[in-house]
Amino acid sequence: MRLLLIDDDDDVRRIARLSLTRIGAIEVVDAASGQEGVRKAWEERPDAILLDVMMPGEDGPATLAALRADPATAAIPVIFLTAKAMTSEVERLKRLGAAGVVTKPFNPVTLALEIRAILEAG
Amino acid sequence: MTTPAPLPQDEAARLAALRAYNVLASPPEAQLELRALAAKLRESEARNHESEARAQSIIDHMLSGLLTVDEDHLIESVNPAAAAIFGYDGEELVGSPLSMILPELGASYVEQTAAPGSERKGRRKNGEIFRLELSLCHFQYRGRQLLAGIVRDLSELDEVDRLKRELVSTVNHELRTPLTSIRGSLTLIASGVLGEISAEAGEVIALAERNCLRLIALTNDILDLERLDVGNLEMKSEPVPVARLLERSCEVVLGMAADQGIGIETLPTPLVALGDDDRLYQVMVNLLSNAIKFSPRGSLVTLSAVERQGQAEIRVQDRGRGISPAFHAAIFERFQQVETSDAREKGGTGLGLAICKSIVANHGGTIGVESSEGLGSTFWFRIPLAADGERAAPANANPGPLAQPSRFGRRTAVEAR
Repeated sequence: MRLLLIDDDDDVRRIARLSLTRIGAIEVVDAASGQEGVRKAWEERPDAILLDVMMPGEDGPATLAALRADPATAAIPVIFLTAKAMTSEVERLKRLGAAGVVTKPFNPVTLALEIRAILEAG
Repeated sequence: MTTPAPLPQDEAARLAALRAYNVLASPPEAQLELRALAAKLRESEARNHESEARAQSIIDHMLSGLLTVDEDHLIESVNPAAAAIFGYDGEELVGSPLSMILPELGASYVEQTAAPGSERKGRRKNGEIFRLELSLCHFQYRGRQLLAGIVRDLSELDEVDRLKRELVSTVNHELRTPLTSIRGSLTLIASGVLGEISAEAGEVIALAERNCLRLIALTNDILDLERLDVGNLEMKSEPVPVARLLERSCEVVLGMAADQGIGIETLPTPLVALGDDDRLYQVMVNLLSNAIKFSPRGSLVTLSAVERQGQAEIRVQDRGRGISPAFHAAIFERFQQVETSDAREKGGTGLGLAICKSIVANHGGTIGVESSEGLGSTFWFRIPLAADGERAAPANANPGPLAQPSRFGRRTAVEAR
């Protein structure tokens, strides 16, 4: 499986990449902004996208809208990564069309499992 | 010798009478006495002016608004703070009906607002309705029955509260991003996927990871409390089979109980409460974790539920060191632990019971503890029962297949006593 990770925080990207590749055997492509993420999604056509919600410039929901607007990337399942764990926030993000939501701080040992479970449920 | 006529009681009138009195026509000793009296009265008059000016200055500089109202509920006087609160010039308000600035004013309003700090609605000159704290009281002045009111604008407090919430939310969010990296790094190292580390390094990493998780728990608890404070924590109201609630709570602490050699027994119950399943589960896990933390190895924690005063009372009983009655109320307050070393040794945030109290209160329930030192503790909370029609016996009202008669760290189904 190939996953595109979009998060503006370099350290979070590094940890998530280590966790997903070493523990989850998931190939990871990453992007540091929404715009870069949309471009890489088009170029790489990943199996899924893990997308941070709060980013400067084009934030998570705006990036999701851009991905959905392009037929080439519209069908790629998107999982939001958020620091806000409120039920209402999770439901709001799902209503935007996300396959699921992973909350920060995530457990790196179970992150890949969590992502696979969301994708299988969707 | 002429005897002066009795002087009037009123001091000003007394002074006027003295001034009119022909002192020079009086005998010398009477003149001395009258002059001394005149001097005393002048001093008294000066003191009165001084006292009046002082009182007026206090009233003018009070941060709270002060107003007086006559028998017909017309405003008689306002201090600058009261005028400013309602957005008027002071003189504009004098003679206006009190209902102009207190739109809820009605028949029994004054009696209801007699208690200090009653919260009411005010109306400013621009029509804005705002929250205010009002205390009204009757007083008599020269045979007239008047009202005095102290007013405090609460809308500024609302703004302070909003800023506080924003700060808590921002700080929490900003904490969670670096915590993600720290926790991730530590857990990855501890898991061994990044290579072998020495046993000593492993211990230090485990220590750092444990403390990092404690910090994450603290940010979660602070966020929960902040949401509970402002009523932003979503609270569902649905039938909750109590047996299932107890069972779910046990599942999450089984590992912890096993590590500490604690047994958990759950007594069967047919009760169905009304509330938010997830939030009640949060309360249960909190009480259960505490019971395990404070139980001696080899002892038993008992979960039960009874109907009391028309509510479901859920009880978590441990056989630990117990809590002195002096702490029974305080432990439900924030950052309170019976021993100062508890937070460090037992790993709590000091917010767990405060969150439980808030969640239970949001259900319209109560929480408490029965305990004596050395005799263990029973924490209980009462929440509403579901209506009869909603109490259909759930399929999992009795402990499920996980309930086995093995002892430690496993649930033991015991017949109700």
